[in-house]
This record gives sequence, C-alpha cells and structure tokens, in this order.
Amino acid sequence: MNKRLQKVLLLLVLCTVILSSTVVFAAWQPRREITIIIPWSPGGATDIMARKLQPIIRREFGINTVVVNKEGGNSAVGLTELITSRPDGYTVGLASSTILSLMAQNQISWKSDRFTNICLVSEDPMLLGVSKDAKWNDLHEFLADVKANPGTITIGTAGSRNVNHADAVLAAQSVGSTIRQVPFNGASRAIAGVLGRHIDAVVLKPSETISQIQSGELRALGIFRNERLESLPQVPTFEELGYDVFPYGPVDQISYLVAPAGLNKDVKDKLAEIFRGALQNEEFQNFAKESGFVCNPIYGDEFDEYIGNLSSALAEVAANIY
Amino acid sequence: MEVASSFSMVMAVLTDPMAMLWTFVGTFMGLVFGSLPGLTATMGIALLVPITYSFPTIHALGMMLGVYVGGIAGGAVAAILLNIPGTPSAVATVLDGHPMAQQGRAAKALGWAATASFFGGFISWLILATLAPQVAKFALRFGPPEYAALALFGLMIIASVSGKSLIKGVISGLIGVWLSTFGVDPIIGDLRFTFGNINLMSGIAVMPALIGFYAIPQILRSLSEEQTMEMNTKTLNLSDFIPSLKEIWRSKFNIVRSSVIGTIIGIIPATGGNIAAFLAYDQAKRFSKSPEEYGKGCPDGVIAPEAANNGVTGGALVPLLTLGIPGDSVTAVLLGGLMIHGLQPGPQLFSKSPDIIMGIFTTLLIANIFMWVIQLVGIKFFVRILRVPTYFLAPMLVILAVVGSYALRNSLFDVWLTILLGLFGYLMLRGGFPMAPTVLGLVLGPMLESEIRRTLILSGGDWSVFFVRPISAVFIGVSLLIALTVAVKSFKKGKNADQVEASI
Amino acid sequence: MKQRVAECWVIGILSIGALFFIKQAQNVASTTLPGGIGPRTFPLITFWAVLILNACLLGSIIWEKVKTKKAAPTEDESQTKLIWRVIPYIPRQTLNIIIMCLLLVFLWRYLGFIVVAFLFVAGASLLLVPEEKRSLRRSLVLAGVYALVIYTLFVYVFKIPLA
Repeated sequence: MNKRLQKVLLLLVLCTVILSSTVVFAAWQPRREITIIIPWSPGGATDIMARKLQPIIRREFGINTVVVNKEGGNSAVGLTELITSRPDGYTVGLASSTILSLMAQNQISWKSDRFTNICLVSEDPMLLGVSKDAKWNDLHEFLADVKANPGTITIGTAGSRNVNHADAVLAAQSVGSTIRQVPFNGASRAIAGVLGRHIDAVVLKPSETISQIQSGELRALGIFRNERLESLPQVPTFEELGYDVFPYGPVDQISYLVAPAGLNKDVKDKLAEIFRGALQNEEFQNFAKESGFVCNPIYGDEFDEYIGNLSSALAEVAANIY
Repeated sequence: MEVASSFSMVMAVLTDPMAMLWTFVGTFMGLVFGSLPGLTATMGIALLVPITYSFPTIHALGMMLGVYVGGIAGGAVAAILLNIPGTPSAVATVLDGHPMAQQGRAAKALGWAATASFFGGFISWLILATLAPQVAKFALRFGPPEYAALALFGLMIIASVSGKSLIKGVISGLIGVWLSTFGVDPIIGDLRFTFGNINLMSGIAVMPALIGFYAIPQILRSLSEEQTMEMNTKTLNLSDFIPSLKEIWRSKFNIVRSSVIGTIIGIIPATGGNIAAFLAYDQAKRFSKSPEEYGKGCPDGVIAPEAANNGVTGGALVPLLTLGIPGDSVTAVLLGGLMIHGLQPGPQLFSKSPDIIMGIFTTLLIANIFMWVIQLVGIKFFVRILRVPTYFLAPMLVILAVVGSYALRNSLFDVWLTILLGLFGYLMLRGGFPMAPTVLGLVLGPMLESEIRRTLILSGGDWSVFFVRPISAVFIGVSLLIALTVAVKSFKKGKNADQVEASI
Repeated sequence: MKQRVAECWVIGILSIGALFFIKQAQNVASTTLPGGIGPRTFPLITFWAVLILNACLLGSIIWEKVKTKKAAPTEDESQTKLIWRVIPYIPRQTLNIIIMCLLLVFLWRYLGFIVVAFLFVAGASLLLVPEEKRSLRRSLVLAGVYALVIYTLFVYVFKIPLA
C-alpha cells in the first residue's frame, strides 16, 4: 500500500517534471517587442533589410520589432552595446564581416565569443567590374594584363582593410601579381570613378552595382564565390575560370543575426525559427533577388562552424594582406 | 517619350489629391526637421522608408522628395532667427541672415530665404527635367584630382568668411581640419587619435560640431548681461517680408548664378549643400559691387547660399536617376526608398517606367512650390520665437541642442562631445574667432586629404596630374590667385595698421 | 580686455593640444604611400600650422599691446581685478547654466529624459528670470509641458528613443 502510494507519487512527480520542463523548453515565446540593433545609419543597406523584415515578422508571427540605429565605429559602437545588453532574447542585432574584420585586426577589444550567432541573413559576394568601354572582354584578359603589368592596374574599393580590399588583392595574387588598390569613401564614389574611367576596375558588392550592370554601364567580369549568383547568372566565378582567389578559405561579405552571449538554447532556437521564417518568406527572397544579395539563412551548429571558418580566413587575410 | 503621354502622366499626379497631400505633409515635415538642429533631411527620409512602405509609389516618392526639399530649406529658419544653422547647408546663411534679424529685418531675411530656396529648387529642377542625361556625363569627369582641387578652392573661401581677422579665420579653419583627423584613416584604414575609444573610430561628424560651435556658444552668449538678444525689442514689419518682383529682378544674376552653382555641385557626387552654399556666397561677394556689406546683413548674402543649397536638390537627383549613383547621404537614403518600392534607379528607369520619372519630376516641382508657400505663410509664426524671453528660450534651446546631438546616433558620447566643443566654441566666440571657417575645414579638410592621397595612388606618386588635367588645373590656378591677392592685401593692411578696421 | 583673455585661452588650449597631438601622431602608422603622404602627414601639417599661426597671433597681440602701452596706459585695465585678466570672465548666469548643462547630461542616464529636461528647464528659467517677473508656477508648467512635448515628438513621432 505504502509502496504503491510511493510509486504513484513518484510517477506524478516525474510527470510534472517532464511536463513542466517541456513547457519551459518549447514554449519560449516573445511577450513583448524585440529590439533589433542596426549598427549602421538609417537608410543604409543593412537598415533597409531590417525594415523590410519588420512587416513580415509582424504578419507571419504576430511579433512586433523595433529597429534602433546605433551607428559609429564601423558598426563597433552598436555591437558593443548589443553584447552588453541582457541575453533575454529581446535584443538582437545585425553583425557583419566588417566587425569580424575589426576583431581580426584587434581594432576592438572583444571577440566574437561575446555573440550568440543566430542565423545568416545575407551573403554579398564581391564582384570585379569594369566600365563598358574597357579594353578587357573577360576575366582572362583582365588577369593576363594584371600579370603582365604588376602594380599598374588600379582597382577601386569601398574603404580599406575589409573584404573589398582583400578580394581585390587576392584576385591579383591568384596570378602572382599586384594591383594598385584605390580606396573610396563609399561604393558610389568608386562606381563614379570606374564609369568615368579614373580607375580601371572596381571590387564591390552586387547589391551596390546591380543597377549599373543591368543597364550595361558596368561589366561584371567575375564573382568571388564558389557558385554563380542567381541574380546575375551570366557572370562567371573566379573558380570556374581556374583562378584560386581563396587560398585562406572563403572571404565572404555577410551580415548575420546575433544576440548577446549566454542566450538560452530554447530562446536561441525560437529566434532562429522566427527570423529564418521571415527570411525565407517569398517577399523577402524576391527583395534579395532584386537587390542582388543571397539570402540562405543557415543556422545552428552549421552556422557556428561557418562563422569560425570566416573568422580564421579573415585573420589570415589581416596578417598577410593588410 | 512623347509630349502627350508625359503630359497625361503629369496630369495624373496633379489630379491625385492623395499625392498632393502626402507631398505637402512631407514638405512640412522636412521644414520641421531642417529647422531643428540635429534632425536632418536624411533622418526624415529614413524615418519615412518604413512608413511609406505600403503607400503607392508616387505618394511615397512625393513625401520623400518633400522632406528633402523642405529639409534643406528649413535650415535657414533657425540660422536667421537664432544664429544656429539647422542643417550644415545653412551655415553660410547665418553670415548675413542673422545680422539682418538683429537689425529687425528677420521677416525680410526669411522671405528672401524662402524665395531664393524656391528659385534654387526651380532652376535645378529645370536642369534636371531637361538636361539630366547630358549633364550626368559631367559628373563622371570628376576624378580624385578634380575633387582635391575643388576642396582646395573651397578652402580659399575661408578668406572671405573670416570677418575682421584673417589669421583667426585660418586658425578656425584649421580647428575644423583638426577635428576631421580623428578616426579611421580614409586611405589605409588605420586608426588615428581614437585613444582606444570606439566612439571616435568613425570620427567627429559634422552635426555634433555644428551644434557645439553654433548652438551652445550662441545660447551662452545670449545669457550674459551685455549681449542680450537685442532683436527681442525690435518691432517686425510683417507687411513687406515677401520680396517684390522688382527686388527679385534686381538680384536676378545672383539668384541664377547661385542656383546654377548649387546644381553643379549637386551633380558632383559626394559634395553637398554645405559646399555649394559657401561657394555661392563667395562668388556673390566677389561679383558684388559692394562686397563690404557682406556679413553685415546684406540680403544677397542670404539669397546666394539659400538658392545654392536648394539648387543641390535637383542636381543630386541627376546622377541618382541617370546613373543610379547617389550624390549625397540624402539621395543614398532616397535610393533605398526607391528600391524598397521595387524601383532600380539608373538609365533603365527612364525607359522602363517613364511614369515614375514623370512622377518624380512633378512631385519635386510641387514640393518646391509647397516649400515656398508654407514658409511664406509660416514667417508670421516663425518670428514669434523672437518674442519668447531669453530666460525661457535659452533653457529650451539647450534641451533641443542636447536632444539633437543625441538623436544623430542615439549616443550620449555625441552629447558630451557637443558640450565640450560648445564650451570651447564659447571661448572662440568671446575671443572673436569666426565659426564658419571651422565648418568649412571640417567638411573640406578630409576631402582634400583623401583626394590628394587617392590621386597619388592612382598616379603612382606623380604630382603633375593635378596641373595637367584641365578642371583641376583651373581650380588650383584660381585658388593660388586668390591666396596671392589675399596675402598681398593683408600685407598692405599690416603696413598701414591704422586702416585695419576700415578695410574689412 | 575680455576678448583678449578669451583669445589667449584659445591660443593656449590650441597650442598645448597641438603639441600633444604632434606627440600622439607618433602612434599613427608611418606607412607612406606613393607621393610621400602617409596617414601622419596631413594631421602633422595641420598641427604645426596651428602652432605657427598661434605664435603669429600671439606675437601680433603682444606687439599691439606694447604699442598701445607706449601711447597711453589704459585705465580700465588697472581697474579690472587681476583674476579676471587671467581667467576668462564668465558671467555668473552663464557659469550656472554651464554647470547645469553638465549635470543635465550626467543625470540623463539615471533619471530619464523627462525628469532631467523638466528639472533643467524649470531650474534654469527660475534662475535666469529677473526677480520681478519670477513665477514658480509658470516655470514649472512650462518646463513640464516642454519636456513632455519634446519627449512625445521624438519618441512617438520621430521614433528616436531618448534613453
């Protein structure tokens, strides 16, 4: 009798434990709005991405989001604020290769272990473009010229010591040569420079150049990626033409969703579920295609590994190129 | 595009009451954003991007263009009434606008500012609507050496906005250049003078410096006994603040010249309203028969910068619409706004969606008209701010300055920076150092440095490129000439020291 | 004389700052690019130019002073207290407001925007208003309304969070 009661009690206790634990694990649901810190100025590419996501998240998941712009320090200011906020799932932010690059150069005092990586948001592979009147018809001709005349071909980039810079140098290194890297303050000046024939070529994101490429003012010779881009299917990759531009591993320009370190697993999973759902929404995918970036929201361990590889590639690049 | 079909598109916009309404709302909002220091047209448009997301494209465009036009024009209101430029473009307006207000001619100055802004907007609109594809090619002729030469030429303006003492003007200009050296080096990407502070990595922006050097010292000075805002007591004659046709005709050359300068500067990417306004002011003074009146409340000193900075609006849209290249931060945000509506600015826009192009042209013109009308109607209300006693106005302006500097980047660091610069600015003001050169140095200094270094990378260290290319050679030649004449003048001035005060 | 004092302060601050920054420039990378201009070059030119021009300005001030002294010893100078000839004479009202400004920014984070804005406007207007026009109620009401209006405008209309 007593033993039976004990058994029943034990069973009851077990049931409650199991039930309550499933309640805790599966049912984290945002109860108030989620703040998305954008470490760039309002109206920039990253900001517009977040603002495009907002209505989709509201519609599909019934969750309100607030975009807060904290620009400065090449995204370091906003992301420093993010890592010091509470890891409760209500504060997330959009980090990018830029911050990983700053970490690799020790320009900021913390590393990416202060982040909980949630999912990939966008991938913006760089492309090499020349003016429509340029003498090179394809990538082979261009790189042959680079090889024949080391240190004379000028390639414009948006800024220095970033993925643009690295890719421009890596393209020349793939044929054992050098170029003159010309950093501009922003992509639009670089585009104006190449269209006005002040520089020979540019290395920029497709999202920055797609309108000039579509109108034929700019010719894309090659793309720094392992596969062709869906939005620019006619542009070959460096790899398929036989040039190895990634000796240190892929150097990608990405932006990705992060939360402060120490986020609970269930909260992390829920956030990944919400944002992946919104990113994979047809509306956002169409936006990505029109703007020329890739949106393949990988997450979880696969994504952590991806970030790990990217960080080490950027560290190699920082040590060898900049 | 046929005339008939484009006419019907124009009519479609004009007869759409909602398009008109949203353009009006946008223009009004722009004027508010422009007149408050710290809020800019860029922020206004960025704010609208998510709000206008579900709007029909033309309504959204009308609203954004309204904010753009209003935001640039609105800067003059605070510049004239309070001696605090609401936007960087209005810094040159302060030079003559505020003295006019101090003489009790605030309403007249505002009337001129609104009218000149309208003409600037209209002339640049005309150039945009008729010649856009042709003039876009001009923008592409500007390479790094030309930018460097333009920056040098711009820095020569310091001589004409220095007031009494040239040496103090140059020191003020160097302070601006100094502030611009903080942060990431523009060429190699190394850090300079950040002292380990991430907030300094992206450098000192123009807005905190503007609030620091103009708003704070001005507020503090208004408190001291001997320098009360004397315009409080002046009676304002409201009946004649709208410039008459005769007066407009008298200033026709100034208006057209300044508007064209503004448009050209607008077309050149990465320049902007601030440079355009200073260039136009400088040219107006140079061409004027009585240059000694500039800086003492001369209406032409208000007309020139205001016509030029609104001339930039139409100009900046030229490379945006024809090449897909945004000319400044406002048009960059505008580009984002267009893209969110599924439009890709560039040559294709003209052939693919002529209705959008016509819509942009029409709403831009409408926005300029609204901007003029709202300002003229509003002058009666604007000048009431002068009746608010200093003991209420000063604390309120402090709050506004603090909030404005915070709002730029949502950062308290910027607020501290603004206060710090403000205290130093107060000392400068008391010591008779002019502020306008500081802003010029802050804007043009980094341009000069990065463009020179960029040019030298391109040329492989060869300095001769600056003198071989025609545009840069002309700019450099004229700059040297100006420098020479200024040097000779001040040397002569030094010789007969008694005339120091008399000759400028 | 007040202008002269402020002038000297600006010159002093700038000169010390320029010397400090010239020293700091050694921490900046010395990479030189084609044409001989590196990241250090331009800032260093600026700082040296500030130093030289400061020296010129100081020289002209001293020169002028010597000249006027010879002509006729100024009377007002001897009457001003020595202390105001050395430190910039800032009127008490202005000094109060400067201190209140610093407090305002310092306390912002702890008290929230509405409270500090209210306290600042109320306090400053009471301090500045001439005694015969002073009205506690008017200042309080005005400060309250103003703080709320600015807060609402920025937070709800402009969507700019004021921490």
